[in-house]
Amino acid sequence: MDLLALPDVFLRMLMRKMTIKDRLRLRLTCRALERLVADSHAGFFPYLFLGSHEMDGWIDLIIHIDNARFKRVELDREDKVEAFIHMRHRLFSGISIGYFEMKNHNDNRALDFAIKLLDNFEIKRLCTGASYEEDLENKLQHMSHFPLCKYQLTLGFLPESAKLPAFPAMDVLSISSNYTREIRAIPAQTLFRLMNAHRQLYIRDHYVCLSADDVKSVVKILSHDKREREIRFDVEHSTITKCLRNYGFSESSVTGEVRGSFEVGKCSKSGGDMNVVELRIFDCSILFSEFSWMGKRRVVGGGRMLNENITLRNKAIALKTTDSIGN
Amino acid sequence: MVLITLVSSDEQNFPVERELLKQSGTIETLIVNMNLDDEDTDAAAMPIPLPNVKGDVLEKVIQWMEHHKGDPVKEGDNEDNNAEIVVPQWDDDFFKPAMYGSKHLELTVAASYLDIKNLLTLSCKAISNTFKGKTGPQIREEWGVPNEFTPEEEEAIRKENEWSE
Repeated sequence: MDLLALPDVFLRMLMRKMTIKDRLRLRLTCRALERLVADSHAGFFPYLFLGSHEMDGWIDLIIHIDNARFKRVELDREDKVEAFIHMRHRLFSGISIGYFEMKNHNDNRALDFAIKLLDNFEIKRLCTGASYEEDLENKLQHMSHFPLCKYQLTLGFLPESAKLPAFPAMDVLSISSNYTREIRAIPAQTLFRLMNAHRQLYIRDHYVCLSADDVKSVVKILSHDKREREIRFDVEHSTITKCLRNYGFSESSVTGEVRGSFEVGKCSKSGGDMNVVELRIFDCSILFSEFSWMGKRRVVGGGRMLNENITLRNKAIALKTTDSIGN
Repeated sequence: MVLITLVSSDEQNFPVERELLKQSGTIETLIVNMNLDDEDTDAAAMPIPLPNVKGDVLEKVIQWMEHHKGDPVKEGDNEDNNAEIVVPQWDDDFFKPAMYGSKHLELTVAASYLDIKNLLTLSCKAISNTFKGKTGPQIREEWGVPNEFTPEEEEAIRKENEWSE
């Protein structure tokens, strides 16, 4: 028995245990192995990166499959694009990817390239981000081409409220103001919609207009959810204090104190009057941090005002407030 | 200690400790179907024929199972991270002497037939490791594969491979 006489099923199994670079080299062995490389599944690789680099109006695409890096593909050179796609089709018939990070340029040609490149890719998690509305539209369009994977979307701005419900269900949705630097108020209804749609939700910089009763609703929703979830958002100054007082806790509460269904899991002052209190209810942890029992607003570095925040985890949640938003 | 006799395709008998055979999905199924675990059954009198495995290969399989006795058995292998499968030193030493000959390939086929997932995974990985970092001509030489490429064909593939950094 020689290597090529191995039944096809074993040869294919072998092909699932090889690195991309070894597949490339194996192509230069003989015609049978060159065909086998092209016709076989490459197995599982934890990471795929597709990005782009723009300089002087020229766009290069950057592709990494795990630790295999490829020369940049000049998007304006159709022959280069086709040559790369051809090479990819001679490299494997399919591949499983654990985490696909997509940071490609907003250009229809880049999307076309991605669709061709990723033909027969099984992707478990697609991670991408957007910094402005048009960017987001494109990224959502990209995502729609991969309906079977989990999505992780990081936004550097707060999209128009009307657009948020149109998002597909995300495994992780992060919203901040990294791009715009503006801080906006998010209505409670929007938070509830987002919570219902997405498993993990992180809202930073912006703050959610929640009453203490709304916070109770948030806690109720999360604590009754069977899934492992984490939600973090900032709330208006003093919301947490009201909420904690409604639950029966005060400045003098200590770790282990029980009020109704809640137990204080952690209670500490993190400096000045900035407090951290963790409440537990069922499998849910609610972390209130960066708030002041005195209802004071805090100024931090650069004159920025700090919001209180809440982080809820089910089997963890968290909530935070900032003083920044003062009126 | 309960012994179960395996019979290879060339009629060699191998009494094997019952516990070891849990690593083989195929043999485990046969043991259940033949009621060999029943106290009333005389397992020694009921050998299990393995018509697809030669004696010398079966001997190697048993040797491998003895070393891996008690190891957890994997469920499927499609999710293996290609880069992270490491062939342990003992297994590497075990596979190496026969690596480029038919014996290792027969062992791989036997591992599949007997449904010994860990052996199959490591055996395939050991073969794929022989390609690691090697050029086409080196692989050809080691595995005795003839070169049928025309210079033009080889050049075309080489050019495509240049996409890799």
